[in-house]
Amino acid sequence: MNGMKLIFITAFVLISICSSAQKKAIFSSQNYAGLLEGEHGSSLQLQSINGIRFSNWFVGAGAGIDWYYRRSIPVFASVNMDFLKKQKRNFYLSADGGINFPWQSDDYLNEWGYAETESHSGPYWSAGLGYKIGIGKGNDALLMQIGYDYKQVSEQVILSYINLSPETDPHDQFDYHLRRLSLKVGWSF
Amino acid sequence: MPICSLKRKSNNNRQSTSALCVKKILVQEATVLLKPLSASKINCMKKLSFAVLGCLLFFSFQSCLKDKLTHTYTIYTPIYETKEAVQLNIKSNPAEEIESPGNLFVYGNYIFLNEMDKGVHIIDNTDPANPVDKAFIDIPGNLDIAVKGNILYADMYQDLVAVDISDPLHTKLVKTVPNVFGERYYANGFAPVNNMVIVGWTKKDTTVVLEHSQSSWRYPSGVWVDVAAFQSAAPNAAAAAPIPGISGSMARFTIVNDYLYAVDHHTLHPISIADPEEPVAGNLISAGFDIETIYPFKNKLFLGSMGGLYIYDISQPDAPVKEGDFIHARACDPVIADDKYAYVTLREGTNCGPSTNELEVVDVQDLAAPSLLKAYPMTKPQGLTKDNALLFVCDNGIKMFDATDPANIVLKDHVMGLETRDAIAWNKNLIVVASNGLYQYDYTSSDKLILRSKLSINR
Repeated sequence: MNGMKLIFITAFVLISICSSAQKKAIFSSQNYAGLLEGEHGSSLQLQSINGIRFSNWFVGAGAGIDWYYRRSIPVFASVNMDFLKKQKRNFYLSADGGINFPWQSDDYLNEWGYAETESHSGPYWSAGLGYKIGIGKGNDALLMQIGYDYKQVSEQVILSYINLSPETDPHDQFDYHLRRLSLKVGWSF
Repeated sequence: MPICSLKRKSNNNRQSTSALCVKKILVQEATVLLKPLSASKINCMKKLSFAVLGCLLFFSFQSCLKDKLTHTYTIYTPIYETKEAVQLNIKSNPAEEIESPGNLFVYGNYIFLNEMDKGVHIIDNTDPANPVDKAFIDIPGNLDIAVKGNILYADMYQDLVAVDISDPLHTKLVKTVPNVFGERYYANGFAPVNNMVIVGWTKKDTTVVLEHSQSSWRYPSGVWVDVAAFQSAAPNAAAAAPIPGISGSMARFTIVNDYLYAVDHHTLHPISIADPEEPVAGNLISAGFDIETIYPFKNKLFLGSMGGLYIYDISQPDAPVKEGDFIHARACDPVIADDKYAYVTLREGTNCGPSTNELEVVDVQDLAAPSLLKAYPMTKPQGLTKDNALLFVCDNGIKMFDATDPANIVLKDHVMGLETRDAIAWNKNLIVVASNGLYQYDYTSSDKLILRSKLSINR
């Protein structure tokens, strides 16, 4: 929960500072679907980021679903910076940071059999370069982004009870550090 | 002033002038358009170039896309003591904090609470609203206890010890019977050497990076083997004892008349305690696999195993004979019984197997052919206890059921938020062992459990 608080506080502070210091800020939403490519193959990702756009900046809070190796739900703060101001076609930099919550699936449970397992959240962050194409006269835009993505998931598993003394804690901990190439397309408005 | 003007001239001159003019206009317009953008555009191009270059450099390092898995575990190393020194210390020592409670046993005004692998807490429960931890009997490797009269029987790894508790604050060892519980020879893979006893463990946390091969990790091999150890217990000394001794459902020791019966993984041990201070181990009875608990029922013994409920006749006390069984799906299953029905909780887990979580009510009026009366879904039940029509189940806390009609038990109260293990209900007082304390509830009102006291556990 400390991580969650950090995300929301960071997003709130950024929005507040930028809103007070800049010109008119408007609500903006970015919604992505894409692929994550890594050592354990390809998987799908979905994200929705909602926040404030002002000048050539965007700050917001996002959440998504990440199916890479261990299905999970990242919750994060996001910051975008357009290279040019008020251009319909523009490159932008993106940075996300937050927490990744595990969402156990049947495949994962089958891997451990009926072993008792507990999953725990871990850090999540992402950085990328995007290109957007404005559509129409409003703020709608098509988004394309390539980036680097990291998430961590932890599991506590009871592997064996061989001759264990009851004083022994039978839990083993496994920490997954998962690094991926992120490719996504989306829509902002 | 216009760049050029189209004055009327000769035809030839007008054509060349027009072309030149258009050209000049285009150049001028282009200059006008390009001039203010070039600085920002160049700046943008620079930024973009750096960003693209950065990405290319980044992805060119393949290690940046390598996944990593770390495995953290604890290495345990035994601390040894001579058996002579250990036996000298089997007495009432100053009270210690409760850290890893096992099973419990109620004996008169005292609660004997096992501290797993270490010994027995002696708790004065004269006032259930104010239990007092009075003393601690150090018994390394202890998991089970049983009491008859003034003698407490406990396992010390593979040995059976008899302790005089006539004065609970001044207990003393009266007898050690070696090599009774053969399956307890190993602990954490270590065997006793040179008459030494494992009295504790040093711990060291270790983290390793697992190898990665062909898109998968080499996980450490896991072996699902049941616990080859007793669980702390308390004896049910039934009618023979002047003071009622009551055990929990997780017991692996029980006393019926002049015999102490103990189960380990595969065997039933009848131990004569006709002379309480001179226990004599009898012949082992092979009882199947994955035996977990034992419960006395009239002149029978109910053995709970992961494969089912086994019923043994002890008309001949030193030679129990299997009379019937009730097979169920693989699960951990503490069992208790009243005159007509056995109540069995089934739970899944690493040690227990892939099964279900439920309470089964088994009709045992015909012991040769027990049958399922009804199964009730549970969360992840453990121990259970019964007092007349009230059934208490350790499940996601502690649940109190009206079991007047076993085919239709009714939940009356549910205390949540506790990680409960076992319970004993007697004389309107429910004693519950939970991960964070020893709780006592008043169940005089059959509709509600009223907390009387909590003896906290130090973790």
